[in-house]
Amino acid sequence: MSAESFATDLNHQLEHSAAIRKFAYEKFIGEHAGEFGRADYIAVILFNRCLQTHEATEILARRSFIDDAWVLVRALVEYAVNCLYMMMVADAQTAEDFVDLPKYKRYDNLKRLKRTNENLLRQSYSEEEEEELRQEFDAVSSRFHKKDGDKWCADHNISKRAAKVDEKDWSGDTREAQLLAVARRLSMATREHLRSRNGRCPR
Amino acid sequence: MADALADQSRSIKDGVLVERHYKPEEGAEVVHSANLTLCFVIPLIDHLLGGKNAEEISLVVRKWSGQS
Repeated sequence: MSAESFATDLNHQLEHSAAIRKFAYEKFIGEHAGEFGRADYIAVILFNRCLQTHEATEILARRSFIDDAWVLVRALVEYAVNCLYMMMVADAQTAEDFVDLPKYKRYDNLKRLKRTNENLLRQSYSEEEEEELRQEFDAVSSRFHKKDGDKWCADHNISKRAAKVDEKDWSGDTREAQLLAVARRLSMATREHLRSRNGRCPR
Repeated sequence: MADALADQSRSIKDGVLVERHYKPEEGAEVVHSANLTLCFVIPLIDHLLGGKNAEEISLVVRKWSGQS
């Protein structure tokens, strides 16, 4: 059987879907000794998220919800690209911004709700809670206020981050260069699949 | 979006027929893409966490892609 026919064999894909994920959980989810920066921690958390979304995709596919499964694949690719970006490109400030952006967004959303329906807001947040969120917002807002797109990153959308990951040159290290070559081929193939589905994939 | 919706309905003589289409190949394609994405990240996560599983990763990926 050719590699192409394996790709269109549902039983083969489902069987290996579970096997790949089981392997990943066994090897990577748990304790790991070493020195890791904040971007590394975020990468590992995003990878864990990849595993969950991968499983959810498989469940939908098993139940024949194919278009819904594609929606999850789109989300999975975003987690994967952001995970790789954190590992390969992001600096410490980008990692800090990724972590702190929810503080900005929470109060920003709260302000919108307040303008629309303050009574509804009060059902969810007391004045004291609102004030706490405002203080968190004030502490970080200057870092996000005028930024475009996803705000936490100079490469402010998923396409730009995927491009940065692709541009990464590790040619000085044979093993890493090999890994990256594999990753690029897989990345291109995945994006081609998504492009053919909905035209909204990265790059 | 429109394509996905169009797949599920068609005009018939006296109106419209709404139906649910499913082909196993479509299921294979979506799971293949999910697997591909995960296999894209796994070697680099392994590298970040010490790079102890390169051979096993290679075997898992080769089995999945039908190269082993």
